[in-house]
Amino acid sequence: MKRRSISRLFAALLAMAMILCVGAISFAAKVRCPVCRQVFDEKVKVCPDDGTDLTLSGQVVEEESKKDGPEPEAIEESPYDDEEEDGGSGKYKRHDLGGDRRRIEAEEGPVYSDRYRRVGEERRSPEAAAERRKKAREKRKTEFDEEDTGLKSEFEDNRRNMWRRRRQRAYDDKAKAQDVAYLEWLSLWGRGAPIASLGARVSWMGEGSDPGFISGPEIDINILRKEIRLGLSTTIGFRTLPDRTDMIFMEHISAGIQLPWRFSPYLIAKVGLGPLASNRFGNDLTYLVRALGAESGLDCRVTRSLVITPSVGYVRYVVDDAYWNSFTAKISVGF
Amino acid sequence: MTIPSLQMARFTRPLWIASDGPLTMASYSKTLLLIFSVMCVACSDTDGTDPYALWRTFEHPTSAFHFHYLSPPWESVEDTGPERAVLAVDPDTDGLVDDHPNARLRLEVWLVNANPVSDVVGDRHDHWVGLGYHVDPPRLYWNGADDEGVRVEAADGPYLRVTEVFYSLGGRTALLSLWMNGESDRSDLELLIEGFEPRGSEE
Repeated sequence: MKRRSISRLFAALLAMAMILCVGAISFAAKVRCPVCRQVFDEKVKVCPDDGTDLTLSGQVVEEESKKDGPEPEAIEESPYDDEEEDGGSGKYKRHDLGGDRRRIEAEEGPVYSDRYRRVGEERRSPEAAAERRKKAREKRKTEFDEEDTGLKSEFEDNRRNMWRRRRQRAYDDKAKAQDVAYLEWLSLWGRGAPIASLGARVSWMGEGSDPGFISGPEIDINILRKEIRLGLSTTIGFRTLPDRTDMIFMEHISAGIQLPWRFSPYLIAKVGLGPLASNRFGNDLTYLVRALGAESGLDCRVTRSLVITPSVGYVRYVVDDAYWNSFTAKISVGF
Repeated sequence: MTIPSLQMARFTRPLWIASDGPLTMASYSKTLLLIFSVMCVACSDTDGTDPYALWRTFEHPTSAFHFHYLSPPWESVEDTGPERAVLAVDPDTDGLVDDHPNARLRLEVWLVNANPVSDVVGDRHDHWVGLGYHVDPPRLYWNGADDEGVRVEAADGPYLRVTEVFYSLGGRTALLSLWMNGESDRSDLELLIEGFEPRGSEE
């Protein structure tokens, strides 16, 4: 590299010396490049456009105008406009090179045609350019990596924050739901008895030596006001006797007190009315049954919507002027 | 006027109760009145476990006998005076005929001035045989009060049946005659027959 530079420097000095010598012995004349047809000053030995040796191949051009005249007028049109007319290469008609045109607009953009002269060889080195491109790539890569790392970090932070917020929100919702559920559960405790229940009741209406076992389903509807408990119940029972089976339909109303809790004891008084259907001597007969009794039980709230209630009580059935004192028991499932 | 002890006017659970106003003296009084009314209605003096608790009792004027009958379905169909009771179940409007009573069940109870019982049994045997009935031999019978009597069964075909019970009352004989047309609950009929007691309550 250095050797080549030194040789080039030596060649340049030699060329300058020769030019000085030639310039000293000859006056400036016009020479036309046979290749590009460009007219140069006689001082120009080599065509800067195509490298033609003007000293050997250049065509001497007779001056038409006086050489010491004023500088050529600046023209508005681009020096390239008459490029075609001159057979191209009009851009090299520069006044500093002996041409008759000069560039007046710096804004027209850079002209790189003389970059060999303006730019050193070091810059034209392909290795340097590759090195620059490599460095530029590395720089861009570094910048990209830094920016990418920042974006990834920001994305990770945002995602982490998002999931943290989601978990917190889910936890809050769950806690809130659990609180609500617990409060509802407690409120159900405060209700005591279920609103409605379905159960099975047994009682007795004996006849002679037979106990006259009565059994059947019962539906209860309770009307609750804290410790006050009112109720309506419907019973369909079957009275089993050795030689026949009677059917009894009773409608009861009840009133009493309860102690609302998860296990709510209660005590109620009941009165009821209903028909007793029987077949006697081959005839279907209906008696009006009245009932009066008391009952005590325990409403056991198993789940939110399930209450199991065992109860026992006393009931007095009356038909006409006959009475039956009976023990009664019931097990029901409330909702 | 409200009852303080029952005034729970602030209901935090409106769905639990149908009414949302306090109990008043008027409604409270009505409730108590209803309860006491029902309790009074529930008062009674007959033990329902007695098989004849819902039955009525026919008492002979001289307390010579009494028997129980369930009314309805039994109803009096002949005005024969207090000495003789004639009841029937599902009587027809056409009236009753001795040989073929126009009813599903027919009961006749009376006193016969004849003794011993065997003479009355013989007369009734001849009566039913004359009507075409097949009469079983008489047999001893004890009613619900363990009174000893004589029981006679007779039948005419698969549906017409007769059961008669005789009790000796000194110089007279108490007689219950039950005539049946068709199937009926035998247990109720036996209960009816068992309830025929020759000795009245005054004896």
